Order: sequence, then C-alpha cells, then structure tokens
Amino acid sequence: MTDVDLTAAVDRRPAVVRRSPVAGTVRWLLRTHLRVAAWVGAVAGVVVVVILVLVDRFGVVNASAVPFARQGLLWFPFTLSSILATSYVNVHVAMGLTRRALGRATVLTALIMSLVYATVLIAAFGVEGVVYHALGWPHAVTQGLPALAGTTGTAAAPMLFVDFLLLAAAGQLCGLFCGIVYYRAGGLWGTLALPLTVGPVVALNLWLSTEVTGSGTNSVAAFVQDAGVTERIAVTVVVLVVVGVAYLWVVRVTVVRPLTS
Amino acid sequence: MFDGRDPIYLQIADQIRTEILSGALGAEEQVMSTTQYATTYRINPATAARAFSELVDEGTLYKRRGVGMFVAPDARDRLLAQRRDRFFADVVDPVAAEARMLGIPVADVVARLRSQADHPGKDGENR
Amino acid sequence: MSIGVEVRDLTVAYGRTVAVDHAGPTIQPGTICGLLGRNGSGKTTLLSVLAAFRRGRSGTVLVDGEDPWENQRVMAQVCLIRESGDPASDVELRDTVGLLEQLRPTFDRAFAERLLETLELDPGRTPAKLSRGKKSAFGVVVGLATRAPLTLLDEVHLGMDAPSRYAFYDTLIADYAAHPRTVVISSHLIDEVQRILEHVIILDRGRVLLDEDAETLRSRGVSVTGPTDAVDAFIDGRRVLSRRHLGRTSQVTVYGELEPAGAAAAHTAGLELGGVDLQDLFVDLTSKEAAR
Repeated sequence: MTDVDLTAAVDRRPAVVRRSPVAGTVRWLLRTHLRVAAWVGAVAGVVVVVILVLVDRFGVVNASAVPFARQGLLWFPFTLSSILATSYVNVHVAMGLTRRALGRATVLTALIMSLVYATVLIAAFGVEGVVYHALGWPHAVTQGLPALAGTTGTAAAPMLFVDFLLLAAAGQLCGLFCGIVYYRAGGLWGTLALPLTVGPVVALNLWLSTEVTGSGTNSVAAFVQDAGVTERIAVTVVVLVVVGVAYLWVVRVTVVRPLTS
Repeated sequence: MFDGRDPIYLQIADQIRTEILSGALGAEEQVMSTTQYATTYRINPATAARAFSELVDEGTLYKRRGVGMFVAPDARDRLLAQRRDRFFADVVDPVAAEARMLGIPVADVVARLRSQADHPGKDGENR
Repeated sequence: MSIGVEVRDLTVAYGRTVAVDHAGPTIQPGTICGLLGRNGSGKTTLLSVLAAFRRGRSGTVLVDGEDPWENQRVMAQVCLIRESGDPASDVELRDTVGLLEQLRPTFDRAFAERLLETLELDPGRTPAKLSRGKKSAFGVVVGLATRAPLTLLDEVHLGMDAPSRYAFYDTLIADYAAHPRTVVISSHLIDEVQRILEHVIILDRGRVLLDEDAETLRSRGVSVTGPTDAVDAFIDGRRVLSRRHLGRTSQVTVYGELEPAGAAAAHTAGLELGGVDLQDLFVDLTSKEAAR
C-alpha cells in the first residue's frame, strides 16, 4: 500500500451532483416508475405466455395478445401515478421544492413513461409477431383505434404505437389528477369529485378501446364507432391537455397535510 | 451546573476566573475554544462567546488570531487584587450579619478563623 | 449563512379551528430559538407556514424578506423536520440521502453518513421498517445534514432515547458553531434544550405569549421563599405565577425585572431569592391560572 493508493481511495467518492428541482425530481420519479413497471411487466409477460399456451392447447390462437394489455396499460399507470401523486407531495415540499416544480416534473415523467410503455409494448408486439409467424398463427389486431381494423403484424405497428401512447398518457395524467384531488380535498370531497376525476379516463377508455372488428349495438356505441382516427386522437389530446392543466392548478394550491399520528 | 440566578455567561466567566485564581489555569495557558466549551457544557455557543468576550474585555484573556484564547500574564494578580477588594464586603460582612442574628459572639468567630488558618480544611466540631 | 423570519399578524385556521391567532413572532438570523407551547398551541402550524407547507388565512410572513409560499429561492433555504421528517417511507435511507444531496444545495452527504453511524441507523433500511425513535433519529440526520440557513426542528426528539438525544444536542451545537445558521427548536423537553437556546418564543392558544432573549427570560423569573407574611409583603404589586405553602413558609414564583433595591429588601426581610428553571417558568406562564 502506498500513499497513491490511499489518495485514490479518497477520490473514489463521486463528485457531488446537484440537479435542478425539475430534472432531479423527474430522474427520481422515473426510477421509481421503472422499478415498479419492470416488476409488473415481467409478471404480465409470464401470464400472457401461460395463457397463449393454454389457448393453443384447447383452441385456436388467432389474434395478437399485446393489444389485450390495453386495459392494463390504462389502469396500471393510472394507479401508480395516483399513488405517487398522493405520497410524494410532502416528500417534495419538505425538500424545499415548489409545487410548481412538482407539477412540471410529474407531467414530464408521465409523458416520458408513456413513450417508454408504448415502445416496450410495440417491441413486445414485434417479438410476438416473430413467434406467431414461426408457429403459423395469424397475428391480427382486434382491439384499438378503428384504423387498426383488419391490420396484422408490422402494418399495424405505427397506429398501435399511437394507441398505446395515448392510453398510457391518459392513464397517468388522469391518475395524477385523481390522486392530487384526493390529497388536496380529503376523503369525502375526493370521493364526491370522483365522477370529475375518474370520468375522463373512463370516457377516453371507451373512446379509444372500440372493438375494431365489431359494430355498434346501441346509439352511443354507434356514435363512437363512427368517429374517425383523427377525431379520436384530437379529442383525446384535448381532454388530456385539460386534465393536465387542471392537475397543475390543483398541485399549486395543495397544502401539505398535517402528520396523522 | 449553571443553575444560579445570574446569567449563564456571567457564571461561565466566573468559573474561568476561579480556575485562574486557583492556579488550575496558568498564565499564557490556552483556554478551551468557544465551541469546545459550548459542546462540553451543552450551552449555546453565543453564550460561551459572550463570556469569553467579557474576559477579553477586562484583560483576563487575550486572543491570538487564528490560534485561540490565552490567559493574560498578569491575569491572576489582577483577579487576586479584585477579589481581595471585594472579600470583606462579599464574604466577611454576611458572616458578621449571620453571626449577629444567631447570637454567636464575635470572639467565637475569630477563634474559628484562627483554628482554620492553623489547620486548613479541618472541621472543628460537629455541625 | 443564516436568514431571519418576520411574521406580522398571522392567522391560520383549519376550517373553524383557529390554530394561529394574529401572531407576530420575529426570529433573528443566526440564533438558536426555542419555540415552546403546550399541545395545540400552534407551534407546528406556525412552522408549517414558514416552510411553505401551508398558507395563512391572513397576515404577513417574511422569510429572508420574502413570502415563502411557492418561492423557490426561499424554500430552498428552509428545512422543516416534523417529528421524524417527511422521507419517502418505502425508500432506503441511503437513497433518500442521495436524493437530498442532488436536490438540497447545502446538503453534506459525508456529514449525513457520519450521523447515520453515530445514531446507529442502517442505511439499507426503509423508514417504514424503523422504530419510532430511529425514525426520529433519521429526521435529525436530514435536519442537520441539510444545513439549511433556516432549520426548523419540530419535536424531532420524539421516541429517541437519552443517549441519542444527547448525541443530537452535541452535534447540533458543534455543527451550528462551525456552520452558523438560524435554528428553531420546538420541544417539550425544555430542561434538556434550555441552555442551547438564545431566544425563546412561547405560544399559547395560537398567540405569542412571550418573545424574549433566553437570558432575560431566565432573569425575570424569581422564586421567593420565606415566612408567608414577608413573602406576601414582597409580592405585592408583582406578577405572581405560582404559589406553594409549606406550613408557615411560602414559595412564590414572580415574573418581572427584579430591581437591586427589591433584591436588597427581600434579603433584609429574610427572604431567599432563587432562579427559576425555564421549564418551571413555562409551566407557570402557560397554566390556566396564569392566564386569568
């Protein structure tokens, strides 16, 4: 051992990295989201494989399984975001950071995570296509935006990506909004406000999840059925912007709740 | 520690003066830093600093920039002179008053002082 | 680096319950200030407003000269630890320390790690799995290592055992001396913290009962002991906080400046004058009888 080694040991401590409130928070939230999502994604992957094997055994596999993950893609990010919105406010403000920074960081995280979810699912769709092809199964898309009707395999990918992106964004932004309203308003008012906070996500779910091969059985479904892709995307984006702005406004007036012990 | 009616900083200053008088702190000897003093006795550093600045102002301690505080060479002599001046008023007069109240003759008090001077620290009788 | 606080006529309410009622305390920069008060006196609410956890209904709050609410410059300089602080409960302590290092401009990671060791905290644990005392200890770690120019410690000692508490006091004093800042401590253990305090603010039912230099406060509380008649004569015209009788002897606590003539008179009357602990003074000042 020489003095040089000792100095090296001291220098090994990483230099202090200070981050801006938004950048540091986004980094932290992404880490949390990715950890949980990786776990849930791994479990979901196993479940899908088991189901496919079973279906193949007792019937015929004739459609891609990935679009069936759409409900999960909506509600899992919704839950995760609403939990984070309620449990992170005090942690954030206690670190001397503004709610404005929290609002920006959580929305940015939601958008980044939407890209992550959509990309990962499209990749899964691609892998699935290769497997289906090898096994001789038709790789049809039966759920999602109308433009997906009758598409299979790689032809469906671009529109499927948009579909996933919008779903994941809807789940997360509505989750943030729902969570922060609960945190801000408390149990009673938070529950009374549920139609307002959960409403958008339920509506968007219907708006985007039309069975692409079926036809409407009642007037509402028929109306939904008749809307074109551009209209669907445009309306979804407008609703998400409104929900996002409402969320940012509620965050900025949120009080850190007293300790309950 | 520090439970009299006097402000804590005065009690600290007095304690250091007493240490100098008793010889526990010698001339030119370094005294504890404000921080050391504050942590040792669990007091506010500003309180300790106030005591030290009082001792510096009266010339008992002096500062060496960047090193610390030291006992002034003539500190003990000056403190002795001060205490001697105050001895009769602060110590003897209350004894005389107490003795008068209790009806103890002055001769007995003087005898006790003599015996203590001859045999320091010895308790002459059971109290 | 330390910053001061100026509050004017602040009122904070939870629905109909008024927690802080037209209070206007001032905290001098660079001092260790004690915020004392009985349960429900509004201490936590006041501190929450200073740290921008919540807003007042009316009044002015200036931290370093500005309103702290949604003010990034001010909020970055304030650290409020409520009891065990507000760490993410299912995140390992070492990860929280890492996050704080990134987001708190004055956070000292090496100091935090030393403190974790001193207070016997396992960095691999999550706050959810810690005992009450250990949770509080982690609050202390965050509160001290953040080195915020305005550090607000609200009942951080809860559940901590005596050795941990003394380790906290010692570290606070040493680190405060090395890195001067403004510290506000709210605590029920007045006995333990009183000599650390330079300034004392006592809240009572949301109002500032007292806002005083700690030395002055101590010198104003005087216990008078002696024959009941003599004591009664002495306390005439003074503010009496408490009174105890032991046969024909009385012990009375009075509050107010004791002039030398008064002290001399007491002496001649055969009365014994003594100091009053901040703890006793606090109890007497905030008891129901004193309020009348």
